[in-house]
Amino acid sequence: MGGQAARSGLSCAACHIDGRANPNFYLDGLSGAPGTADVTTSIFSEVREDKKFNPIPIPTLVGAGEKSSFGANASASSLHDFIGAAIVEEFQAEPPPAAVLDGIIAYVGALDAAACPSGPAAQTPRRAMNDIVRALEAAEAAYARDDLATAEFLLATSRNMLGLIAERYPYEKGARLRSDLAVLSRDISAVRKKPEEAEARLESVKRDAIRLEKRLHKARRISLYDPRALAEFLERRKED
Amino acid sequence: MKKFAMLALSFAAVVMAAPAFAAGSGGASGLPSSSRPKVDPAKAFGEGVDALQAEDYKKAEKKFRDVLSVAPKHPEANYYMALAKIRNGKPKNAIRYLETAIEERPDFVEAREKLALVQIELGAPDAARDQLVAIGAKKEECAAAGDCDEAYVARVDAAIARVTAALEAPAGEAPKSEESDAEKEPSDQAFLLFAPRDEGVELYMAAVRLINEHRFEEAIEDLYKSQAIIGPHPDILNYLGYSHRKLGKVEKAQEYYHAALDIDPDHKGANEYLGELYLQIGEMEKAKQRLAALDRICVFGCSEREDLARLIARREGAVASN
Repeated sequence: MGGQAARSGLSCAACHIDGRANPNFYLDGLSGAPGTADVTTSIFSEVREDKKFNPIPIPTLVGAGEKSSFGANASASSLHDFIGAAIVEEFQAEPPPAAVLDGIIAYVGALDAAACPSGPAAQTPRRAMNDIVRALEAAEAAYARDDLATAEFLLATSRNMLGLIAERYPYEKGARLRSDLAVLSRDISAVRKKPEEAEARLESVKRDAIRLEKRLHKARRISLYDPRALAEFLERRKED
Repeated sequence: MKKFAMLALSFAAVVMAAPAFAAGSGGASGLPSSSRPKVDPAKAFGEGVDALQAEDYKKAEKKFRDVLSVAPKHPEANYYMALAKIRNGKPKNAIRYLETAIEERPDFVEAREKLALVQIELGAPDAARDQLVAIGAKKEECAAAGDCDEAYVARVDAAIARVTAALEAPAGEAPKSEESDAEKEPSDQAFLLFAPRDEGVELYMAAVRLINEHRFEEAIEDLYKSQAIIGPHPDILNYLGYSHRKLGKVEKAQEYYHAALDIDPDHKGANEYLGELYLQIGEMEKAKQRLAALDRICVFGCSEREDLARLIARREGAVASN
């Protein structure tokens, strides 16, 4: 995402957890009831303002591949057009590299109610780090086929995901882990600066990520991945 | 308009899908910043306004001193500091704050009125008459431009009436500067002084929408109103910089970006947009310094850094191909 949405820390997953809806999504001025959003507002978009406050329920994307039309207030005739327009028009991002857009469309198109679990999988540090390692592998593959734009996009994504993990270890006890996540992020950034050494550097970064994942898992009770710790944290924030 | 009820100006604070703590306007990393000043000027501003309303003028002075230590030119903070000084029986000390407020915002009618009343009280009616003339000129200016806001005209007329009455009053009977305070009659002012903080956030959000619709002059109006309520806030100052830059007012834009960075040197948006401004005026090295700052701030990367890097690369590419 770009524009105000990206600067506010929003991503596709803010509305579509694991490709589904998010019944808890609520942003004053954008949402009506929780789980709804006005997709035609200039809060995020330069081109979609329709001068109406018309939030609609956030849909699940499961089964989207079977549909013949897409979107309610800003419709499109193909999944490709719909997602491309959402990224560029609704959220003011630069058009993503072609392989990235194709990947998103393939992912959404493959979400199948019969194959998917009934609800979103639990967030864990293992799962999060596993996603990062997979993104790094995809970056490696992109470097191998000289698709630098896609590789760099995936590296940036990996770093952003590391940041989301670091946020879940907010306490003093997590300081060392946050610091090591930051070091890993810098190492990933360094890959981008020397694409000719990408393969070797990415191998090293992946090894570090796997080692760090074990420590993050071990410390999960002090993190906001732990439902009880998360509830306490949110309660404290409400009091503040 | 739908009411916004945000805890902070950052959207992230209210997005339930992102349960981890809000990044705020500084580092998305969530890591503490060592370079940020100890004073939170918007918080101190709110506390100062509360103290004024509670008639605790000493506390109000202290709070606005804190605000002005990081945002010395903020018009409303200077105005409120002057009110606190006047209420503390130090009208002479109020003058420089009122002058700063007026210098920053020449159409700040309440500040001009207050300055005139202080000057009358201190036995300088000629200086007060100068302010009266200036207030009248502001009214004529907006009439000539054809963009007079009804509420603004009402504020101007009320100010003129009060200053005129004070000037015409027999010696020794002129109302003292604190006796006709605008803030005592906020409903008559249609002005933002002492308005609830939520209204400031709502105005800020309205300004963001206007910016996205490229209606920069209207956005600036809302941002001014927003900062009159909220106090100096880097998000507001950053968008004031952005809107002025888009209107071609580069110097003013630069001032606002620096004011935002004075409050929060790690403000990602202000670093990015100041970098863009440097690119716009051909200062490539300075643009790269902002990029280096973003590299340091954004431990886990950020879109502000990516966007500025892209613009620098494009500019360098364009220069190389020439």
